[in-house]
Amino acid sequence: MERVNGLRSLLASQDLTFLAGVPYVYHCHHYNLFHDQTIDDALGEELGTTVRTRAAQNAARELLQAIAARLGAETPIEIIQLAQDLFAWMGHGTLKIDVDATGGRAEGSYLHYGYSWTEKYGARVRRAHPADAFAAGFAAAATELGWKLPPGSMAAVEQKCLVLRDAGCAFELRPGSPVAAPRLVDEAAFASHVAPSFGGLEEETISAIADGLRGFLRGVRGDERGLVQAFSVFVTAHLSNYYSETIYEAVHQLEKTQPGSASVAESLFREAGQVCVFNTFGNILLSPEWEGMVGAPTGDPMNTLAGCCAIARGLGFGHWTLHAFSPKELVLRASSNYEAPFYLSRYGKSDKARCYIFQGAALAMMVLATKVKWTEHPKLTQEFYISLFRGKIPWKVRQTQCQTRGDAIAEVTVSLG
Amino acid sequence: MDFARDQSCLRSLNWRTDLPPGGQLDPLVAALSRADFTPTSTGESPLLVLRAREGHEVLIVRRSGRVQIRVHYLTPEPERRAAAEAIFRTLVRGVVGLLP
Repeated sequence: MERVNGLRSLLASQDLTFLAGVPYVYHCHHYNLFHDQTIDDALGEELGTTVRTRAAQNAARELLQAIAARLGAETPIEIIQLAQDLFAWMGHGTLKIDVDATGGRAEGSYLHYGYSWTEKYGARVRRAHPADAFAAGFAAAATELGWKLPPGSMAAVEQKCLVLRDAGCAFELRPGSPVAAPRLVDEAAFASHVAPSFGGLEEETISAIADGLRGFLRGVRGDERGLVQAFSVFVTAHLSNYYSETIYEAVHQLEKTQPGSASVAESLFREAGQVCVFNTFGNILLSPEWEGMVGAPTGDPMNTLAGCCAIARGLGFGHWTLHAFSPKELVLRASSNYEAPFYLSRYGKSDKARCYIFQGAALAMMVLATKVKWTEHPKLTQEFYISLFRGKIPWKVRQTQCQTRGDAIAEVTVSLG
Repeated sequence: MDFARDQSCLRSLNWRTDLPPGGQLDPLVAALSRADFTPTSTGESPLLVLRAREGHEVLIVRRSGRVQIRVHYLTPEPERRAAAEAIFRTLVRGVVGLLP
């Protein structure tokens, strides 16, 4: 898998990262579980699972195709082996795919979603539907590519899952209905939908930390389980096109069928951005890895905000800058993020702002910067999250500029409501 | 030296202690090496990482003396605290050995 490490690339001025030309980012299990839950909350479990599996299949197919071409994997055996190795390298767990051109089975152990769900919720929550749509889509995409089948011609269903108290995870792969391939959203597409890069407050600090974090992440890969445990969380190298397709397909579906519910779903997707900053960014800030690299958080709001912008850049979220800050207002600007390029490439212009993760993240950054006593070693528990975010936030977030709407950049303003 | 769960939601896997300020790390590393820990980080790294054969890890932040003890995930949950405490005792013995 060392050869895959060499396929990483960076659109440096935009802090966007690619694997064989396919956009990827890092997200932790808290975000990943919440993200998938929001899709199911918006669409219902059955349609939510369908949308998530299809998005995984699309994104994984794009990645596997690009990597197989660059590494010269051609035969079914080579491509299936590559898929299994890549899946584990990215931190998604261990997937054993046993298929031919007509389908077959796949078995998973330590799958990121199912395993981390069990670790997080364990016996406290009972769940009635499986958690590993990403693995299902990945296995289906690998099978299609291995046997040179058109997109959609393989369908995968998770039949056993750790979260259902099964001993392991198992998938059935069977023939599906071929569909037209969705438009590629690759490095070239991203590059065509970003603004010229610019700086902001604390620019030198943010830039240097982001470089350091990227350097650290280059050494991160799945362990013997295929999981990445770092910063006190399970981390995945993940396909941003998966996140974006699931969110936008869900919100478009609601806009079409239940327009009154679309704004509720949008607020859920914003909350996914909050969850990301609270858990992923927060755990990074409190981690020994960060303390060694940067120093422990000082509690000064600018220290927290600069750290958060650096983390966003280091994880591949785009070129986030601090434009203005006071205890009453925070303005973030970005020449790029991973949401707008996907939207513009796949759907074209929108009549409203669409960078939900960026919006929620900004609000959470304001909260982390002003409400959390970092020097007292806070525990980032669910109870603490609720105490910070549910019902007590004096600020409102608005996306004041959005590239999907035709603006040159993305800008979000967090101000007293 | 205090011993407590570190900020982490993963079940009893990560524990924290802090070394007294101003101590030398080399004798402490030697004490951990005698307890079967092997450094996996480079000498220049701001984060010193040592790993035991059982998979437990000790991370030491050079600049602050913060220590994170990471118990291997295959350790049954009821035994994780005891495993971390055993490593903590090794650390304490190493620190005591540094005292004048």
